[in-house]
Order: sequence, then structure tokens, then C-alpha cells
Amino acid sequence: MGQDSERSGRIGRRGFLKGVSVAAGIGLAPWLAAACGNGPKAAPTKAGAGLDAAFFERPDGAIKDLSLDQVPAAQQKTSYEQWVARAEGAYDPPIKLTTVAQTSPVTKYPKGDTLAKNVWTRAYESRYGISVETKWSVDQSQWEQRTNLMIGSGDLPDFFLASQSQLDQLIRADLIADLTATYKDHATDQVRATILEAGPTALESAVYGGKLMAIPFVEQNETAPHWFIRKDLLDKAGLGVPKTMRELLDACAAFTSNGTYGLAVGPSPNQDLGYLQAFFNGYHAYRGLWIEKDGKLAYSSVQPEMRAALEQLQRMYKAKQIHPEFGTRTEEQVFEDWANGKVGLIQGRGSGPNGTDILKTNNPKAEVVALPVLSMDGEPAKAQVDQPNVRGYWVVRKGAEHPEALLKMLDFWVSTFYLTPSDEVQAAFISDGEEPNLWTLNKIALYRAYKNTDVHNTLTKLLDSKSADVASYRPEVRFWYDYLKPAFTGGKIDGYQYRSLVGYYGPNSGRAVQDLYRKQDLYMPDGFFGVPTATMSRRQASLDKIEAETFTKVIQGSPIAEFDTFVKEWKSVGGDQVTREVNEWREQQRARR
Amino acid sequence: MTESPAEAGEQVATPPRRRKRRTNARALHLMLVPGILVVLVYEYGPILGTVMAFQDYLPAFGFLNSEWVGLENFRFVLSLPDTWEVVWNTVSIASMKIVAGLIAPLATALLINEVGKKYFRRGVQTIIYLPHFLSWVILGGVLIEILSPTFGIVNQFLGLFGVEPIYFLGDNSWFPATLVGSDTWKEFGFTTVVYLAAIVTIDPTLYEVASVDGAGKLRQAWHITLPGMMPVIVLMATLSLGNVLNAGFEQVLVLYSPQVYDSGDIIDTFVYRMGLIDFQYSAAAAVGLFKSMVALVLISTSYYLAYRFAKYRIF
Repeated sequence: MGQDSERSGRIGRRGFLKGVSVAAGIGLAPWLAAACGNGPKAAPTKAGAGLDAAFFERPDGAIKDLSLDQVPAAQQKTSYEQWVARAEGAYDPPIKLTTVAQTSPVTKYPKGDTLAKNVWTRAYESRYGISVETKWSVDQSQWEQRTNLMIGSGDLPDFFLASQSQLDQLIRADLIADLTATYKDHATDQVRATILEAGPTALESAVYGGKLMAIPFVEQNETAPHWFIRKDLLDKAGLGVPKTMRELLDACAAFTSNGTYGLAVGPSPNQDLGYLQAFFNGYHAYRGLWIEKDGKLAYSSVQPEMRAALEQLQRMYKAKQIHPEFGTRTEEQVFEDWANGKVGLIQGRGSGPNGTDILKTNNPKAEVVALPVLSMDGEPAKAQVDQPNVRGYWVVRKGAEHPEALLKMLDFWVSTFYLTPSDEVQAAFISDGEEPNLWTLNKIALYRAYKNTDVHNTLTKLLDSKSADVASYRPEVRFWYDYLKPAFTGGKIDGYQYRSLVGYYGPNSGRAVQDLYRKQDLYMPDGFFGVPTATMSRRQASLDKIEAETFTKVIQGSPIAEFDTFVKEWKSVGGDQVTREVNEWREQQRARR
Repeated sequence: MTESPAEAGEQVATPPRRRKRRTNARALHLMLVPGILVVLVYEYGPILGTVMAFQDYLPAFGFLNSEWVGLENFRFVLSLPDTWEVVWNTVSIASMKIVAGLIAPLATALLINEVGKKYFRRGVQTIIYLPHFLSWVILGGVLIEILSPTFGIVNQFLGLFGVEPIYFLGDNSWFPATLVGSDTWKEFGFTTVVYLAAIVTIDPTLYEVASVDGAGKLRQAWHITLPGMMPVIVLMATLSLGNVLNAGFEQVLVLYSPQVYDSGDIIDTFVYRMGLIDFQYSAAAAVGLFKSMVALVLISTSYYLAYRFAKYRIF
């Protein structure tokens, strides 16, 4: 059913093609673009009166509606025609909006449909009189480069998704419209509630000089790192489910035997160490974050806590609890190990790790449970997350006639994607059973921070109760209920069902952990969420390089003193300067509020 | 290269014989137009883009409005602590590749040339140049598997002779050699074809004369084949010198990891991380321009050397 909009775990492609395309782009586009030139350089917008506190307040009633999983009886049979019927405030005559789009490699279009013309564009047309034209589309991996070229050429569509640094440039070059009034007058309560569910920083990060310059594409909050552990191996070793980091380490040692590794360590997309955040977090160490220290922001990877965590990893590497070649293995190989039962412990981010289905199919005794990050001492461990949870910013070209059309489309998106009333609407817009990714065809979106966790909670309640009246629930809940029911009534389930159970909707699933994080607020957010500072953007590659190099080498047995050398080097190569700039940013940020 | 109707009209007045020759030449020149256009658009056009090396280039401002910073980008790149390590890696890896890439195909061509059976020669030729057509993404996956110290076939084979497992892709002392070896293996078959073609042009009577004089196969190779191939060898060497700052972007990107940054991080991969992941277009352009300047000097030098020592020249 794939409503799970979370970033896929398989990003391990080394993406040099991406590089090649940009390299070509760098060469060619500029001189084509140079001829056109761009608008005059505008002075940065002066700080205005500022937006009042009410601007950042979540509309009360709306959020209740959002987390409501039951459909009012009157709506349960909504037909497609009713759903797309002309709305109040539709444009007459119809208007045209241009945009650019990301393609999804997995989506197959229903007969005759394309990315440019599909159920979503038809709905915008019939419901609001908005005809959306897609000027070009490109695979997600090339998105930022391609939009940079577009911005360079000065040929902007009416609206598009910009990255944070693009937003910053667009504002400085005075190319995009101020959306303050548009948002105040046209954002419906459910749209506002969706954006503000991610926390006030999401909206704040789009405010420049007292003006809202973009609509943040808010992301899920439910993807913080946690553990997946093999319960059957714990039982075999006579161990209980770990409650502390120490017990977790004991379990790793117990799992390790010839050819089986306690802890899975893999590369992240850019070949750096991944799958270790949950480990570091157990030591109150955080990778690549700006954390509060002595009243200032400090870089987390150079703190003493990190040193202790690395020392422990080194001990584990020596004891063969980590794959000896972790430094050169691909992400796929890590998942293969998991699937083949060669690993006892792996980090997840809400959903179940790839390969869990194979693991269960090949080894029916295998049992996986999710654990939150566990602490090394008495103090509760916190899971590191990016803040604000923003995937990008919806910007409107300066001079576009109908910026408010954007908010109509967003309202339709929230209504359809999150509040689907009937199977017919579900099948038309989101998933018709054959194509689970119809929803990716829409041109504009926002993601709720905790939708999947809410579905998890509802489902847990439904599956627990003996006489659940499922009929009145939304299609997504009903789908998962039917899909997972056998697991709770003693029926046979296959590997895929088991993977959903472990990742999403079982009592010990990743989503249950995310719910725990949410309820107890066990997040360690990134204190810096501005545009990369001058030194940061210049030195980041060098700083990341020594960090990755040192961490890998220390784990593989280099003396721990190398960590201290790294900290010194990090500071002198630009880290100190970056720290100063980050703290300056924070002062400005505070003044802005 | 535009041909106006007026010019075409004038041609009518010229004497018949001359006109015929001129028209032929004109048709040939016209055939050059598409090629020249392609070169202008795709090779010369982008040169204008190098202005961004002297700017603080931001896409939203374009070329006309981005701030001019003079040589700041070059200064910045040279001030990075990684720069010299990365340049050294690039030059050393590229030089080893150039040497290996000259010797291996040459030796292979000489050996294949001595094989009498035609089907065998063809077969060997085909098999050894096949890897040339595979991308590094595919070969990278294969190499990671077969070079693994724990389960890779190469180390298992070495184990039979009592050799300790070698971590080809994770050990700084082995990584450059692995790069050079695998690159040579991938490309030597293709270059061999060029040398074989050069051997074919050698006059067979020379060999007959030599064998009458009592020269064996080795002597023939040394005194006839090699001198006969010399212009091509010099040409190949000359051409490859321009690549001394290209150590193979794709290959390194697929095979390297943080533990071999010390010996394997090359200019292109560092620029990739800095310029294309962090979107530092100007700095990346500065490095690109710097690389081109060095390549220009190297090619000019080697061209001059080729003329001095092998009397080889294009112009």
C-alpha cells in the first residue's frame, strides 16, 4: 500500500552519474544562462514588523481532525465525482500554473496517464479550475542540480520546491514572492495544522525579515534512529531484552560467533559510517549535530562522549563483533547480512530494515523487536534528529498572478492524502491496489509529522480489542487491519507481512518506538538549521573528510589519541570559525523571534 | 563557413575544370560544419563558464550579477590542507596508470602478433577488450566481491600459497596498486588493438630479410617491430601525458572509502565532494581550470618532445 512516505533505506547508489550530469551542466548551462542574466541584485529584505505569535499557533480543532482515523458516516461512500466536484472559490475562467516535478522511478502510470496529466492534475482542474503544466521532470537524485541550472537560467516556473540554500539565494536575488498575506488569508486550518505539527521551527525557518517567503514542505518526525534486535538470538543466549546500553553490548558479544556479527555497521550514502547514530546516542554522543553546551552551540562529533563511544566500537571491532570490512562494504551488503541472519543488531529509522522479509521466510524462528536508543548511564538517551523537519520550501515566482492557488492545492492534498473518506477516493488518488504510488504523482505536498505513528496507535487498539468495528475507519487503517489480522489470530503470515509487523504496526515495531520518543520527547534536535555559513560551505568537505577518516581508523584499531588529534585539527582547519558563525547565527535567530 | 547565394552565383563564371575541383572541396568543407558547430557549442562554449572560477557564483544571480572575487577561489583551494595530498595522489596514481597502460598493451600486442592461429588471436583480442565496455559501477561491485580479504576469491587463491589475506581496498599501501592494476586490466585490451594495427603497417619484407640474415623472433621484435611501431607508441605516450591529472574519477569514487582517503582521494573525487555535494560551483570551476592549465602545459611539452625525438607532428 506504500503510503509510507519515509525516505527509502536504499540510497546506497554512489551517484557518480549525478556528478557527471552536473559537471556537464556546469560547463554548458552558465553561458547559455549568462546571456539572459537575472534580475537586479536586491538588498536583503529589511526586518519588518515581524509576524505575531498567533501566526505560529496551531489551530486547535484542526489537529484533532487530522489524527482522527474514523470517517463520519455521511462521507463513507464519497464517490470520485463528489470528491472532485467544483469547489467554492474555483477559478473561472480557469488559470494555468507552471511547475517542475520530481519523478519516482518505481511508479507505473495507469493507462494513458503521465506525470504531466494524471488523476491529481485532473482533480485540480475540475475542482479549482487550476491547470498545472509540468515544464520538465527529473529523477530525485538530480533534483538539486537541475533546479540550480533552472535558477541560473532565470526561467522560473510559477511554483517549485527549492532547497534551503536556493531559497536563500532566491530571496537575495529578489526572484520570489512574499507569501505572508497569502498564507494568512488562504491557508486552511488543516494545512496550518499539518505544517505546525512539525513544530514551530519549520515555519520559522521560512520567515525572512518578518515575511513568510515560502511554504515549508514539512517532513515526518517519526524517523529517528533506534534499534532492531533479534529476539530469538537473545533467547538462545539466555538473555532478556536489553534495557540499558550495557545489556545491549552484552547481547552483541553473545551474538558474535564465527561468521555472525553482533552489530551491523554500514556506509551511509556518501560512504561514510552510517547505522551508528543509535549507538552514539546511547553514549549521549551525536554525529554531525550542533548541540547546546555551556550556553553555546557546539559541534557534537568532537565532544568527549564521542571519544568514549569510538573506544567502545574499537573494542567491539577487536572482538570481531563488527564485520572486519565494514569500511568498504556497501549498504546492500549490510542488508544482505541482516537478511541472512548474520547480524544480531541493526539500526532502523521507523520502518523495518530491508531484508527482514527474507530473514523470516528463510528462518521462521527469527524474531525481531524494535528498541529505543538505550543509555549508558542512568540518564535517558535521546535520539538525534534533524531540525526543522523540512524537505524543502515551496516558493512562488515573483510576479505570479495566483500565489493563493498553491494553498488550494495544498488543502486538497491534505484532505485527500490524510483524510481519505472512502475506498473509491483512496483507489483513485493514492493506491488502486495495482499501483501503490499514485499519490507520488501530485505536484505539491506536505507530510504530517506523525501520521504513521497515529495509524500504528489506532491499529494497535483495533487489533487488541476483540470486537473492533473496523468498517467506519479510513481505508488505510482498514487495509493494514486486514493485512495483519492473521498475525494476531494465530494465522500464517509471510515474510512481507512480518516485515510490516516489525517495522510499522506490531506491538514491538519501529513505530511503537517512535511513539515512545514522541510521548516522552526523547529527541536531540540539531541546534543549527540555517543556511550553511560562509566557512561551513567552504570547509565542509575537508571537515567531513577528517571526521570520517578518523572515526573509521579508530574503530579499526588506531590509537584513540587520534581522536584528540582530530579534534585539534578540526578546530584549526575551520571548525572554530564555523562554531563562531553558528553562534552568531543563533544570536540573529533569537533576535528575529 | 556560410555560403551566400551570391558566392554560388560567382562560381558559374569560373573555368569548368577549376570549378569542378572547387565544388568538391566546398562539399567536403560543408560536411565539416555540423562537426565544427558541435565543437563550438559543446567544447568552446563551456569555456565561457570558467568565469565562475573568478566569481562567487550563485545560480540565482547568474553570471552577470554574481560577485567578482578575483583569484580568491584559487587561493582558497590552495589553502586547503587536503590539496597537496590530493594532488600528490592524483599525479602518482595517474603516472603509474600511464606507465602500466603503455607497457601492458605493448607487450600483449607483441605476443599476440607472434601467434599464428588466426581464430586464437581474434578470440584473445575480443576477450581482453571486453572489460573496456563495462562501467566502473558494475566492475566496482565485482572487484569489491573478489578482492574481499575474508571471502574474496583472490585472497582465497593467495591463501593456497600461504599468503596472508590482503585488504586490497582498505589498506593504504595496497589501494593505489589496486587502482592501477584494475584500470590496466580494464583498458589494456582496447589499447592493444591500436598497437596491433600499427604492427600490420610494417612491411613484411623486412621480416623476411631479417630471417634470411639469421635474426630470431626476439631480434625481429627488437629491431623491426618496435622501431616500426615507434611513432604510434610516442603518439600514445604523448596523448596520455595530458591525463596526468586524471587518475580516474569513476573508478576511485566506486572503490574508495574513508579509510583510504590518505592514498586514494584524488582531485576529482575531492572536487566532487566539495563542489557537487556541497554545491561550491566556483571552487570546483577553479580546480577544473587549474587542471586544464596544467594539462595544456604538459601536452605542449610532450608534443615538443615527440617532435624532437620521434619527428612526430600533427601540424
